[in-house]
Amino acid sequence: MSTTAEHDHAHEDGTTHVGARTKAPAELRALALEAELIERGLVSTDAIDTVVEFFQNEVGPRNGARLVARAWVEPEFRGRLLADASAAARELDISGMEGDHMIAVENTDTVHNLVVCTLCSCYPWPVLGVPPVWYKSAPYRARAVREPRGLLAEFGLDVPADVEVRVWDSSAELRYLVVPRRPAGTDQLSEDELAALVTRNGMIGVAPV
Amino acid sequence: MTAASSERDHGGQGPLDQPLPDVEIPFDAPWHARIFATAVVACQQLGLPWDAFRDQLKEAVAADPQRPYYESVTEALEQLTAH
Repeated sequence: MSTTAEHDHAHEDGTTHVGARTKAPAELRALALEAELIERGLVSTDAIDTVVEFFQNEVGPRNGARLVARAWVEPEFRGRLLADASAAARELDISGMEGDHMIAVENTDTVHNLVVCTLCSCYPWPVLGVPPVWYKSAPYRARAVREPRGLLAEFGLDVPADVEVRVWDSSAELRYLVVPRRPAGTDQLSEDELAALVTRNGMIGVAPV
Repeated sequence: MTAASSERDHGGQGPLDQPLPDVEIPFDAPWHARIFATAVVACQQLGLPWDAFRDQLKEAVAADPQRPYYESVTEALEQLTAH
């Protein structure tokens, strides 16, 4: 926990990254209200964290899942997504301050993609929501580069030896989104049903879908 | 989306024991998720239905339609918890 906190702090000192911006008045006002409600005993940090975590896992990645599902069912859209993910996202009315330079990388029979931000926690917010805590952790950031297969195995993903693992380092300028492989046996599913199969972890590259 | 879909066990007392409201506008920043979650927890603790918050939010949006959505969320939560 302290590692994450220290890391976040270090990151928020002095880079040009969007996450390093000075907190805007709107954000400060929200933080002040949260602090006041905690002090009054109306809410607890733990309870808020639990709900935020749920949103991180379930709500944020919906936009990314829509992109992936559309790419699965519409080859022309897939082409546009892989050519310019930010433009393709705008076709689905998805845009946002951290999504302007987004690149989609596609998993295939021979390539598995994994996304990390080795410097801090650059992440395509508009399509994946708020990054999970482990994405920002020092061990994830280091191991994704040093031993990605071992890391993936810990996430329960054994990548066959004949499949190349490509690790993409997100930055403030370029943020990556993994397009997982469409699962077998899903030919009959609608686009919405397909989107429901796509997980945040799949779009980071630490899960198959 | 409901809490039941989270497949997680929070021991019967957690904030996810009740269905969570749908997020109508996606989060663009961590504090958006945080203030929204704070509203969820506050409603539960006050024993208010989510609609009580939503009505307050509608008022806040109507009062200043140009204001960014999550700033209206903060405003609404301030109003809801003012007493």
